[in-house]
Amino acid sequence: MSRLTNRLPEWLKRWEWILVILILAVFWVFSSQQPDNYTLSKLLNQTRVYMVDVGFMALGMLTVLILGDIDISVAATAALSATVMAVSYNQGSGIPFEAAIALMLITGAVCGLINGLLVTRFSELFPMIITLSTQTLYRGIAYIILKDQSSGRFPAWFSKDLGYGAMSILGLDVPIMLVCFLAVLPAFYIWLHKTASGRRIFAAGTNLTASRYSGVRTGRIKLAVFTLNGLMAAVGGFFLTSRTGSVKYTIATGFEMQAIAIAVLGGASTSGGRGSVVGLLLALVLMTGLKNGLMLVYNDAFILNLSIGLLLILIVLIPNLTGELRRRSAVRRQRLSLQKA
Amino acid sequence: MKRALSLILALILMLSLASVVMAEKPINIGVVYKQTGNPFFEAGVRGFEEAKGELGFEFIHNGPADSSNEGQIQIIEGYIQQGVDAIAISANDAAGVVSVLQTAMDQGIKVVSWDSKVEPEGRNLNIDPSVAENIGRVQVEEIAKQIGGEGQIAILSPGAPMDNQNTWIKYMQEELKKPEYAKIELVTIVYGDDLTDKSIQEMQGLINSYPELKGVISPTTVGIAAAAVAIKDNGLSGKIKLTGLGLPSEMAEYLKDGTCEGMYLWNPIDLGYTAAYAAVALVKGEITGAVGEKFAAGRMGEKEIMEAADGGTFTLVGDPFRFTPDNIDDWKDVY
Repeated sequence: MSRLTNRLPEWLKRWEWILVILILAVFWVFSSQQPDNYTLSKLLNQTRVYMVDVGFMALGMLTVLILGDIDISVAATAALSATVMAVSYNQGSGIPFEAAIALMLITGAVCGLINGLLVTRFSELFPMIITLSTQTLYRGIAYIILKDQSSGRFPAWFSKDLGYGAMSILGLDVPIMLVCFLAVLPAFYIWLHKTASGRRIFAAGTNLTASRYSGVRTGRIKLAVFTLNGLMAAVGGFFLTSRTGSVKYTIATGFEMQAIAIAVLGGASTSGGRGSVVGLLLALVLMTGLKNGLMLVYNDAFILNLSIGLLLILIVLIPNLTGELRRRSAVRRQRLSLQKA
Repeated sequence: MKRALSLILALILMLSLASVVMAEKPINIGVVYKQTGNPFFEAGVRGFEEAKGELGFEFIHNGPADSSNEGQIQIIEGYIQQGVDAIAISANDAAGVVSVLQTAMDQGIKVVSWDSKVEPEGRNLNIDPSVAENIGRVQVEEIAKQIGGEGQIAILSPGAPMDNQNTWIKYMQEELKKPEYAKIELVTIVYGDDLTDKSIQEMQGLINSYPELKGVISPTTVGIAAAAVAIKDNGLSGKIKLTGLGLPSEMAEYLKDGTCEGMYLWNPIDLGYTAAYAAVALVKGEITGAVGEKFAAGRMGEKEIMEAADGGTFTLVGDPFRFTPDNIDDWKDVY
């Protein structure tokens, strides 16, 4: 056990270095192919497309994955929260926009809480199955509310300044929503990696039973983490809506897979106990650079999806392969020492 | 050696840059459609290609794999990044791309919507396939011609809440009030909910209830195909005439065996072609997208910009395209 915990941080460190190397490779390849368009300032602009809304959802997903659970319903949660916001603001009931945003965040948290209750009360069911069901439920409710209509016409500060505004930092135009995201990251980092409550999540994810017997209230932790995940999904939906300026019940379709992919690419394990905020940020940067570069060079939706799929398979394979190689060399070394003896 | 090599490379680079600067950069149009792999939009792109051959601009085209609004925004942001001169879009959500297109227009990019409009705040000009009034009128003219100007007709529509169809049917009823149609009687309107089974049942019901029925108009691609099945199964091909809005690929069989003598739909090639001409005229500054302006659209003739019902401006491609047994072979593989 002590060997495992000793090796874990080292492995993580190495994984993040692999991500850094991949990022540099991707940036080098595309900036040499598209020197005019693939520049730092233009890439910063693209972060609002590829990084921010998915990033918030991935942060929530990271905590769920560290617990060893999964939540398929985040995109539907984002859609339902956005629907609640748009409809409550637009229905002529006189609800101010700020209150509509509060309603949106509450809706997200409640969706997450429902997931958490179901997961903790029916521990014989897999979280994947439960959240797969709530996914259709949440999106179904969004459809009942909106039907096939879209709802929009938000205040300008939201759909113009937040969605497409930028502020000048060190001479670069940085999208405001990216600044918001980067401001939240350190809080998550400190909470997950540096505080006792964060470590309890890692502990519960590494060994649920052991944690329970050592006095960790695992049920409560799960409820809290799923609620937080629902809230983060709503926050992601909030920033997504600021970009689209309108809400349809189909909004954010497929974002749950992107969020899971980012968290896993960042070093989280679907079997729990592992994950890192720094890795998540690097994974986001890598995905942004890769997707935007592919978009510029190929301009084809299918090639984009295909390459991302290939990358993910590769990412899952690399640690498996290196682990296998290390195990084999260890066995060989043992055999050699036995032969000598 | 190394230094000499890098010097030569630098020279080549400078020369190539200079030649780029000297040559006039061709107009670049970014085309966005609703989804990749849809034959309708592939035909639309052929319209852009045709116009490109005549006007000599460049264009790139792309659509999301999943018909999503987010996918279209992603593509538009990519086009802005590449510095296109104009964007021509068929929008999945008329309101959902307004903000991103406004940032494009702030940077001097001209925006044309075609096939499916963008809200007025997010476009310079909309290219409409046809006005509702024309769509209603041509179908009445067609059925009147087919039944010889007198007898009972019925309408098979998708469903009560369908906005488009209800508007067209309203114009059909207006048209039928004209004296030349005095001997034509519209006996009923039935609704098939755009489901093939239900539409076939409704058509069967019409055949049973109105033995004198001479013609049917179905202003929906699902309905007209279902009506053709029912008419043919009853052995009534040619006895009950059929027209409406149909997809050539689905209706080719019935146009050839005489179940349907003529039907309509807009032509995506003309749509793309006109959108390309409009985009180029906007980029060149020949038009601004204001009411009353005119631009030449190649073989489509001169187009006038009019005020749209949504407060923006639009121009018309023309009347819906008429498909007949004679021309259907050219179109059945197109869309």
